[in-house]
Amino acid sequence: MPSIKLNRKNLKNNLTAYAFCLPWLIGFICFTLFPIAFMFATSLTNRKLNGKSSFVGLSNYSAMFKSENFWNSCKVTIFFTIVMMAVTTVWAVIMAMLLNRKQKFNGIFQFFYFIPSVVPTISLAYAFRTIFGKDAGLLNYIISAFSGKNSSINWMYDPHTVYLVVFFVTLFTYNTGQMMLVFRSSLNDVPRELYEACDMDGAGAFRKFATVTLPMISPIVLFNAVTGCISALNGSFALLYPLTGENGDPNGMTQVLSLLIYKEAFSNMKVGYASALSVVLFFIACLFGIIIFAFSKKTVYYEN
Amino acid sequence: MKSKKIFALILFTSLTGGMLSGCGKANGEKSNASSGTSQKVTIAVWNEPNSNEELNMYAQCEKKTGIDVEVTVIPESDYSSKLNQMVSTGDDSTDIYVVWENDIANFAHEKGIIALDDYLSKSSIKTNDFIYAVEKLSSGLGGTYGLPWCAATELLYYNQDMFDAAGIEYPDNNWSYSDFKAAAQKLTKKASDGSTEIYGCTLPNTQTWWAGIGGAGDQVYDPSTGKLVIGDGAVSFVSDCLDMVKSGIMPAPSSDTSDLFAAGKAAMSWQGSWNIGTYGSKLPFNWDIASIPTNKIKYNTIHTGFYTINAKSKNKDNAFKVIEYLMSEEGQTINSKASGNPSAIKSIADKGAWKVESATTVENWSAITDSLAAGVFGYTCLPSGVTNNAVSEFNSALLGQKTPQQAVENALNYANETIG
Amino acid sequence: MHALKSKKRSTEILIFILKIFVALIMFSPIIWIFSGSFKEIMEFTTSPGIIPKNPTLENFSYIFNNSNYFVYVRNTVLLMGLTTLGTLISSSLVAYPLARMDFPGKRIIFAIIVGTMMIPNIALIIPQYIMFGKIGWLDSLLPMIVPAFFAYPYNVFLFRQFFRSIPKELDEAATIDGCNKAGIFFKVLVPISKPVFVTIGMLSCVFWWNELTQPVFYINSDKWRTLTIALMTTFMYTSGNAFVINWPSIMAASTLMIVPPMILYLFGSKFLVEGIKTSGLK
Repeated sequence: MPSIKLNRKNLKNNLTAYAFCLPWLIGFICFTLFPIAFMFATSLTNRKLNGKSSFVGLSNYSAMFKSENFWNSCKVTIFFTIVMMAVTTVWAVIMAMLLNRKQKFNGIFQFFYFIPSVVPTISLAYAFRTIFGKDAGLLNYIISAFSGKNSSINWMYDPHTVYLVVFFVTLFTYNTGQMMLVFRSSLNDVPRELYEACDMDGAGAFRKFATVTLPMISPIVLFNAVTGCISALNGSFALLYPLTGENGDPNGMTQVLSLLIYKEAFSNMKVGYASALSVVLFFIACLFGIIIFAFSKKTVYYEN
Repeated sequence: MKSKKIFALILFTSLTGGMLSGCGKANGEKSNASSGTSQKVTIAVWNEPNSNEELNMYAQCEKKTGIDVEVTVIPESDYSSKLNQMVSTGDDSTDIYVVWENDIANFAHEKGIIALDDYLSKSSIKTNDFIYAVEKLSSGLGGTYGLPWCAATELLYYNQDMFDAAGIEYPDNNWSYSDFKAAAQKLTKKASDGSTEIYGCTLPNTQTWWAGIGGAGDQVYDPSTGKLVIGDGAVSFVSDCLDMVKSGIMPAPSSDTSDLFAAGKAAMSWQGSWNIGTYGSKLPFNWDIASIPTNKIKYNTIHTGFYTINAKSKNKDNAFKVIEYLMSEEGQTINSKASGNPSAIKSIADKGAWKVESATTVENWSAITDSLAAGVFGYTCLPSGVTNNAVSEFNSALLGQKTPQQAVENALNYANETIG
Repeated sequence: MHALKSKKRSTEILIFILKIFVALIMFSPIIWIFSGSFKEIMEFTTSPGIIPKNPTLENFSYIFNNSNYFVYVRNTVLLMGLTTLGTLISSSLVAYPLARMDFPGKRIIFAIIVGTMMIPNIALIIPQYIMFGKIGWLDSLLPMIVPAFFAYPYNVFLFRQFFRSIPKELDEAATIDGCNKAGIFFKVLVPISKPVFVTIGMLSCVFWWNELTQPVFYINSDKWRTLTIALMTTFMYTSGNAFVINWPSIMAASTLMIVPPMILYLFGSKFLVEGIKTSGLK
């Protein structure tokens, strides 16, 4: 008798659990699973923006693999994602360490350091387009004032400086601010005694950082850095579309896949082809996902 | 126990309820806008209506026809793609589309817009009086699907004060391309450190690149194949621009795009005729217009848009009434006065309402009729992704990232890849 | 000893100066936006001084007079409010059994949720776009609002982390009091997790206030534009000329958009900062 009762109770509990999960299940099927299947199907057609389509087999893929723009875009996507991850992480660590220095006004400093992360990326993109402008840009003005010579560097169109600008702008994204806050609290968790032990040895600031701080916070840094990849993939459109346009000027140097997808689907109206590009982006994301998973297994816990 | 279940139920219903009310709100407003109690017509365009009510043709149309005209402005940069989306999804919230040259044939074939012949037979619009280029574009569709809202051209704008100071004669409509280049060089002013203070000419914009390329002898657009046709002409024009950028006569492409001509930092500029209306009396110097300088051939691109009626519109009769007003002499006159763009109807254009009154320094109005006569439908018939990509390629040539040959070749390859 | 102390002091000062320098860098775009919004277009495109020569409010009046500004605000608030409401309800519901119940398939469901967190939205936006087009949802806020009511994996994950930190004994006590599993959620968990709801709600609001990508794809007409879209369409060009960018108008519109998140930070930084930390820690 009790076992039957237990089973009934179990069944009831299980049903409750499934009922609670229902919204997710519906959402997962409708907004993730089905679109994935549909994306693969559409990538085999020559679908246009107006809805006309017919089956063309793998010809989108063969056109894609022959296209220079595509290979350039893949390269740029991976480069952009990894470098953005690296620079934002380093910058977040620097800001966190500065803020954790026990001094006055840290609250105010945190406000200034963090606010750019929560303002619209599009506003920042337009601001930087003009700050890095050639003729009336703020930066050239400052350089001119300090050097006494007229500086007219074409920051965003010069292949030598464009990446400098783009990655500088990524320091102002949500991702950086988030990491800064996370690092602040994990830096606080580093046991004081370890630093004191270092002081006894007479270690310099750099050695303290290398021997104590870095090892202690490295798991969290690593994890955040790699999840940053996903936000880099996802956020690149909102950042670069207003910053360098759908062609990824100059010379396609900043044309990440999301920009190319938008351009093919909406400017050239080749939705089928854009779906094939989406498939590639999907696999790139999966690749990063697998890497994250490998890291997280070693460093942090999902289950208990 | 029971009460908790009920509580859960209520939460779930409120969840779905909230969702539906979300839908309800959205759909409700949509249908309000479209179900169009017979007296409301929605029109999609890319230009902001004129802020002066006298010069706002839609406001005047409301007064004359008694029909409420609602204008939906979709910016030029994605106008074509948004319209394609609306047509493909059978959107019925817009009654009149102002359709571009590159879309009208597709929309007609897909039955996204209706043939206007029945309406036209009972109307006073003079369809046999359009300028030649418009007539040519509309033929071959098996009916009249759209009526041209105007015929805009491309012009050379120049700063008279700077010409005076440099002692150069003002350009006329027969100016040659080499005259232009020589003047641009003379008009350029350099600072002591070699940087440019005043440019001889601004960079061509996304439109006037094609005027330069067409003038250098390329066909640009082949109506029979629908393809981009560029070659030696494009190479020579891009090379010319490259030389001018290198020697500081033209500015290099940059991220903080601004109107250097209006700012008094460039002596000449190639731009669309609609800027006459924009500049009006606002510029702090004397300026005038001339035809685009003639290189190998006299060339500029005509810009228009066609009033068409959405096949899904529930309000077609009133939509046509609105179009009828906008195509009438009064509607066309207001449009011309506001924008500076002539009517595509010859007899109306001849009356010259496009001589924008506020542009007091302009004297050479014949530049417009001259340009109209030389104008063709060119790059505007190509997908915008293709032409934007090409301009991006040309820009990278100007920045020295590739040779003009490579840039033109890449642009052409991409166009062929895309148009197929 | 004295030398050591003064050395320490000078490093402190050096670090403080460095802090100010970093603050200047981080805040420079915002200062630039604020200052640009009071400049005339001619000045903006010719001289880069920080203090406007002839400060003008023209740009703001241009925005309010020449656009449906309040329609954009309404759309943004509607989008922000409904998606946040939706995700709070649905994500907390889904997170509950994952955090505090045992049932067959739990591990698989959780693995899928973590897996889908890794798929960037932009990779699926084209098929979703076609799908929403088929059911007539394009050019409305529905493609963004409706999915929110079906649990975002990321928020499910956050809720789960929070719920797990609540002691299990509470559940047991409630069970003894006669609560069933559903009852525990509504009667016990929700009331004591209020700060969590506030935190995730704030993160969601910040996200949707700033979101550009999805509206770019889904919104066509003026009447459903959000503020971010209006920034790159309505406010972008000088009226009548689609090739001259109206920078000061963009800056003025940006100023108006930047202020609300700033105020949110000033008044809700406790929730915001805590929430962001938690979202990155686990």
